[in-house]
Amino acid sequence: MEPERWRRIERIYHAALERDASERDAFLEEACAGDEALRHEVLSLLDRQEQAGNFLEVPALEVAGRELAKEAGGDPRRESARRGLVGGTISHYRVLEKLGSGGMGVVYKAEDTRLRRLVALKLLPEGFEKETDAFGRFRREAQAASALNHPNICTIYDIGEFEGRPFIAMELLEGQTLEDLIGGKPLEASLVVDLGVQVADALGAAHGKGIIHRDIKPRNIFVTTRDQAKVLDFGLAKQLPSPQAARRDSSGEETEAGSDEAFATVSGAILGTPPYMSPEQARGELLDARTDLFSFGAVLYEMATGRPAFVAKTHALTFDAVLNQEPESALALNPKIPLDLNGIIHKAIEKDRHLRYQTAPDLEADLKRLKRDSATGRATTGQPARRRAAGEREAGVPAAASGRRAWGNWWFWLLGVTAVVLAVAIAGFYMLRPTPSRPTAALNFHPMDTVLIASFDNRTGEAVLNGSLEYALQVDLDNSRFVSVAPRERIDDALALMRKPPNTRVDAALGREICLRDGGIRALITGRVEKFGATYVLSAQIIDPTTGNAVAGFEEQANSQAQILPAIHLLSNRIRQALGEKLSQIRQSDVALARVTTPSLTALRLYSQANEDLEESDTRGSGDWAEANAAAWGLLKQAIAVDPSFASAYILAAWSLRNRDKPPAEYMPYAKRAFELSGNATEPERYFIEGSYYEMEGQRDKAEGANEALLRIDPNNYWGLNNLENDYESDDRMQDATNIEVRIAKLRPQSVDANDSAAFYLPYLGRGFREASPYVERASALLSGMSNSGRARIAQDALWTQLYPVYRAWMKDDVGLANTELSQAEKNPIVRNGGVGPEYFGFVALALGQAAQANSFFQDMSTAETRFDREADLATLAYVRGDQTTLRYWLRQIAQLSWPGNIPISLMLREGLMSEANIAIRKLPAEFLPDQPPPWEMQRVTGEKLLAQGQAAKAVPLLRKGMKAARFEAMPVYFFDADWLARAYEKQGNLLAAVQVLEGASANRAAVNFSVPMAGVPFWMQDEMDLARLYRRLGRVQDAERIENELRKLLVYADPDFPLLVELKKLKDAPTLAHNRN
Amino acid sequence: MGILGCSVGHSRRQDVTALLRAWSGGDEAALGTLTPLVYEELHRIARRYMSREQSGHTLQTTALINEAYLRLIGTRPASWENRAHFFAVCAQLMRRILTDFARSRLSRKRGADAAHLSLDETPEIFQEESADWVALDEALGRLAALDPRKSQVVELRFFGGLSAEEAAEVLKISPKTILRDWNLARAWLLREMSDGKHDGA
Repeated sequence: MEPERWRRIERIYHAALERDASERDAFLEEACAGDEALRHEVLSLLDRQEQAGNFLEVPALEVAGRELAKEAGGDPRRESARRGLVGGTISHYRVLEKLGSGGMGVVYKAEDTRLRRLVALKLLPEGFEKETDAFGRFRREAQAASALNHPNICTIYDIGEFEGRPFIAMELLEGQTLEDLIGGKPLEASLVVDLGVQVADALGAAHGKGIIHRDIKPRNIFVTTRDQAKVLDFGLAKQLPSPQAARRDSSGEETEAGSDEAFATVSGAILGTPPYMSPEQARGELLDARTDLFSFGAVLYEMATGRPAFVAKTHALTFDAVLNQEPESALALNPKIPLDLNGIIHKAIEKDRHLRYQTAPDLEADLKRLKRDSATGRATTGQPARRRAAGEREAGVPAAASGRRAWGNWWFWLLGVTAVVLAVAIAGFYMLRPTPSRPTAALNFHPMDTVLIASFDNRTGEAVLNGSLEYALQVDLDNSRFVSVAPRERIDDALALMRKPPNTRVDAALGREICLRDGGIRALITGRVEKFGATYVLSAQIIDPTTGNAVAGFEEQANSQAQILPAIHLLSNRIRQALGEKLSQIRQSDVALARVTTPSLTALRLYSQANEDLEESDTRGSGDWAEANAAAWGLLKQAIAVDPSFASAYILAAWSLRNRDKPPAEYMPYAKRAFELSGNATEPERYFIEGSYYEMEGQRDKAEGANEALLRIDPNNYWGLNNLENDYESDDRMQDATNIEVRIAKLRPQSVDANDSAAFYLPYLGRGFREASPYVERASALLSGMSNSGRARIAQDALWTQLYPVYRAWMKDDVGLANTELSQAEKNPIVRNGGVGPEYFGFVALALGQAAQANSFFQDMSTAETRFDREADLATLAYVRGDQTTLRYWLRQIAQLSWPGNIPISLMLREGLMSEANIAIRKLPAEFLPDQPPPWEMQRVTGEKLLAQGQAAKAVPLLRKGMKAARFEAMPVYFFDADWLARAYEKQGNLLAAVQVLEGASANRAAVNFSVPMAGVPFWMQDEMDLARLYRRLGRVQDAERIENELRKLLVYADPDFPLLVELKKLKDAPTLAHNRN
Repeated sequence: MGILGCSVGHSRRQDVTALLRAWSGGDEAALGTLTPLVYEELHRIARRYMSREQSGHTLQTTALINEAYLRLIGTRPASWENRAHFFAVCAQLMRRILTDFARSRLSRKRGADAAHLSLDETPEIFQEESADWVALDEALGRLAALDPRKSQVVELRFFGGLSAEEAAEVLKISPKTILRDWNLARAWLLREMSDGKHDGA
């Protein structure tokens, strides 16, 4: 197509688009003036335009990413994708069919293609990456179970990873789970006993190895077609510090001192399955092997009766049953079971673990005895044993004998209950007794000392209370200027050191360990919420972490959920008082929590989730930022819907929008609303809202003031620090910004970005590389698990961190420091191997006049990153050295390269290597957009060419134009051209213009750092030298000497034969001799 | 970092830019080093889709993609002397890698059932038009012959992920012109890819 015709099509097309659809036809008719082909062409384009919709509007990377996701089966809308794995291969396993799925993943039947056997393959569900908990559990399951080799424990064959998802290959069992086998009906007694013996034996073996299962339940016991029991799912298994293994807990977690009994214990967060949980497990207490015996007892009960021992409509009621209620006698439900089995079952489910079976072998022995007795007909029931007593359950009346036995149990039970009641009474007495003087004196708590709030022990079973009470207490305590609360990140840092995932629930025991590790936390606050009828009882204790003793305890009640936050507020005030805060102070900042944030627990939960997620994403610096903001936005929207006057939720919502580059029209309404509502907020909240609002309004002064005020009362406020840092950075107050970066890095030792930024900015404080290096190292260590590009980023920063002090020193004429840093850099592997390191420091050496040193650096430029610049830099070096042979050698080499670069072209022209220059210039346009060589580049090259040919008059305007652009685009060529342009003016006799050009270059000393750092220095120095020469020509000797002295100062550490230095020496020896180089 | 998402404005990603430079200078070996970097991003995006869609969250794609481009390319590198050139090369690179990627998958798929990597399963992407990467690449090549600037606009915007304003800055033309070019180029490409009859020449 002729370009002219295409332009016509284009014109008509756009003109048509501007018209109303109704007028288009008429317009086209007229515009195309009978040229039907033209009209058709435009019409067809207009048609397509209407259909174009989203075509190409989505960036390519995203399109490709989505396609890939679809291919990988990530599209949940496609069932085929879901089935994807079946028929496929995972490692060397061919997946045959899906057997089932559960919370811990999907189980497939698969064939081990190497060993030619069938296996069960358990694959963790997708998206596990973020759920480190699940991942950890999975690993633990594999490790724990693989340590066990027992006929009644499912064998683990292999652990592996498939596309980032871990899997376990295990024994493929045929049969069904005990849950299915029971199916709501009692099993026959002999089978109960038979399977019971096997499971007890398995538990005995596991316990012997220091492993407790913690989640024994019918679903986790498999019964093969040959009635073999197999214990599954050691997913919750915990390694006990066994006598042999007690002191080598390599994971560093949960090493508890042995209890006073013969049982080692582990602390247990509440995991497990409520109806089968032991009371101690339900209470979240330290667990030992006896927890499994309780659960197993509950399983036996269900096998014998067809009904779970402890079950109720809600989890809360189930907990209550486990903790407080004795199940109906198994014998009462199934009179056919032997009396002794009933006895065994009820002994196993004793609530007090001291009264329970103490070991699995004891239980096993009793079951075996029963088995023997029933085999010899000595069992107490005379009912003939038949497999499965299906449909035979009768409303059994206990026989007299069994009644007595049952009574015996009840008596035992009563004893147990009494003990519990007594214990509660004692605890209550202790907690409620008036506190004489201040028991917290032992804490030695000072103003602004830190407390750690452990997760509340939620015994109500109401999920909404999980996590929100401790948060509410923290928010409330934040009002205090006396008590400061350890922020979550500090806890996470301690957790990281303990090799635990962030956001691990911190119970009392873990809290204490964190306090001890941290060393700076004075007190631990634990709390608990229970529900009696409709009344919530909230209690809190202050614990001295050094001794583990409670030094104070408080209790408050709430008659409804809505009253919980006020109750927390009262608790908070009592804690403050107990810690030593004066009542007058407390009153001063006594803003009721319910008003401070939100009266709604749901809203509070949503908000705290959003905030934590954002903080975590920011700390990790992993690039989930936009996504985290999007997720936060979702939560905050809900929070606002629940409580439309929740100031903090509005401001965070505004940020979550703004952080995703939404326009002000979207986020400002939220910021405004937060601002309007901030009167009810706590002081820190208020300042944060103000700071944020003004920031978004563009009133940085006010924002800065608010952020500063915020940090005065809450020095570790993470967002406050970040925002203020940003303010300072925008104001170019690098000192202050850096101080904050360092603070953040100290506050968040686990944050890559904080450490990286601190490392990067520290040199701005003039403290040099050594002070920054711990941060560099820390950031690098944190990055060790990251991708190459992440690591390269840090290496780059480390290099820059090293380079910056040099540059800074050079700018201040402190060449001594620059020289010292240079000799340090020489030995620094970060510089030597740091990609562009050799190039950067080569220029530093050149700036200091150390040509040999520069040569050694430039010669090192062999990595992919810099090899294209190596020849150019070596040519520059030769030019500065005045070594024409070498210079010409390199220039001829460069002419053959695909990427000649602009400095070498200028050097070729200057050296008169016209044919080489022409070859290189021909490549120049290809460097840029195909049809658009940057005009300035062509202009200056043409100008240089003309100058080289002696046509100064023609050259000058072109050079001037080219330089103007180069001034912003490429500083080294700007300095280079300044010298040439000045010479052109000089040749024309226009000395003043020449001086003006060179003075401009001289004043731009700071710009030598533009582009490759300090690459402009050699040319800048040349400009200086020329300027001094011109001054002398103009008789301005003083000006000339000022510049010459300046250069001498910069070249104190130069090689004695460095050409510029030699020239300067000559000038000193014969001050009247004019420097003339051309 | 920070809630403001502030970034430190210094020279990072020198490695990628140097490789880009090498590649645009004709060093095909550099492409081998760059491709895994792009793939890494691609897989990251794909993974996000998978986990996100399953958990019922909506994905903030714009942010995600911007972030990917930023991670790959970074802000303007200090040692890159010409901004326009830099972005142009990035976009070219992306075009090359993504097209190659599609081509490789295409050949894998052809072995099975699909004669053509049909994109009709991805209507939200190419909007129900049957189009594919290879066809797009070829059509863009023809557009470049007819009107180089329009092909550059498409390259910068679609492959390079630049906004109209950014593309305008790179090409040193007004955003309005960019939008006009964009409008026509999309119509032209769509026609080209759907009928395949017009060669535009």
